[in-house]
Amino acid sequence: LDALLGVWRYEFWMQFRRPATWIAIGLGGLVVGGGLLLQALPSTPNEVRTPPRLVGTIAYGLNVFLPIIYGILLADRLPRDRWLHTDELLASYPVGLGRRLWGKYLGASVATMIPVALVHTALVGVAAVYIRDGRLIGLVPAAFGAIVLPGLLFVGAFSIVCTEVLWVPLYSILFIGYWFWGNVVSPSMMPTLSCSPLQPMGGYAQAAFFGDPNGCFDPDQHVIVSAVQGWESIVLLLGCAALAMLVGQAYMAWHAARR
Amino acid sequence: MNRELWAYELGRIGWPALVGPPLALLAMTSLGALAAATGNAPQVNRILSASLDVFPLVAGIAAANAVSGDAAIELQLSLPTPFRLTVLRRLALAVGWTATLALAAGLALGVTHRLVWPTSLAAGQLIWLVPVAWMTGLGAVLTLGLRGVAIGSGLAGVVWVVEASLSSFFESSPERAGLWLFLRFTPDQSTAWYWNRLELAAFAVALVVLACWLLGHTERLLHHES
Repeated sequence: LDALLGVWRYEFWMQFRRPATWIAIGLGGLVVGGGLLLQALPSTPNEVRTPPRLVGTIAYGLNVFLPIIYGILLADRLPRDRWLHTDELLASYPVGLGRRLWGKYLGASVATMIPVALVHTALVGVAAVYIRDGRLIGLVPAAFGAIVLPGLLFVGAFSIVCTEVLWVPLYSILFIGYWFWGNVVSPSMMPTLSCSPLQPMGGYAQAAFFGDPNGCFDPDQHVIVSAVQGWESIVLLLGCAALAMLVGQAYMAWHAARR
Repeated sequence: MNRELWAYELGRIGWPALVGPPLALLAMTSLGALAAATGNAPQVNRILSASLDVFPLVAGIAAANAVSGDAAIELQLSLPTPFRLTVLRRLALAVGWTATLALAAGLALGVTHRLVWPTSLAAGQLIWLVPVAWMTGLGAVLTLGLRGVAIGSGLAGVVWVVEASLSSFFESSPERAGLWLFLRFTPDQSTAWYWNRLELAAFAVALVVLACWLLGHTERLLHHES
């Protein structure tokens, strides 16, 4: 466990101190934040949006765009060891491949989540000032944990392990294409995973816990999505992330044994 | 034109750089086939036509990576061939291949009457050509201006998703429509569509010129993030 924590700490600080992490997510937040607030905030004084719904809408809206930058920022972590020729040196250490891989994943993921969480908090803060309701800020951890976090862990796992076999720009193209197809495209336009429990944007969690039908569910139904379905979606996304990591680890172990 | 240099650059970027556009096209064709197999025939032509919208993304990411420096940048900067020229050669190879496949797809859709936006065969090529040029310029400028390929690729990806997903935002005013890569041709508003293509083409030229200017700044090239 000490070794895992050591790798985690190193990877965390490496990604946390990387200017690209802050510049890309900060600029991404600026590009989409204004439009997102205009969409989420009530447009007329009579329009009522409950605090959970407002915070959930902001989290879900942010989740359309920022995970793209998040995924690309994580995609070069494993190839970087190869470019810098440190992978063979790392392989000679007593710390096993599994702990190095999981430490890299968790450390880099958590470090890249921090600016995403700050953008989310800042947007909710602006919304709280606008509607003069401080309760909004208290809902940020719940919205981030239920809507944003599972999707980021899902994206992070695939971004870390897929680039072991895919060239980073090729992965970036496939990942952004997948993200658009599997999250944004309506099922009425083409066959898609969008609006399914496997949608990493967190549509099920948002509908289940924050009461927003988000275009996928019929708003006239009394119960849009049950809490159980919301949890199912979260567990499914986390399970897929863990599975991707385990498959990636097995592939890397097999590849290392063949050297 | 030095053929050896072109061949060398082609060998250097390798097959992974060339596999993106056909893979993207294959994915969209597979979705079309899936829609047809699941009894959603009306979706098929819409999906195939939308495949033209994927090429700008491919070009933007390819451009962001093509301009992202060189492993031996100090050596490159000391050579008689300007590094700007070397990067433009790489850019031409990466984006040229994307444009070739987009042209083939555009012509195939036009000839088979599967394109859901009723333009002439020649004008139909503006559907992908202008957005490809625009995203190429954007990807290059973001990477060079912000000195990081991850920043350039990530932000270019976000801009593409914004353009592809927020149709109601761009349709709500003529000024915004001028910046929309995916404005659709309609016979009754053909002038607005041609103006949109013209504005975007001018914007794309400005972005490429800016990228060329940025490529001339040696100190910026030496401090790219790894």
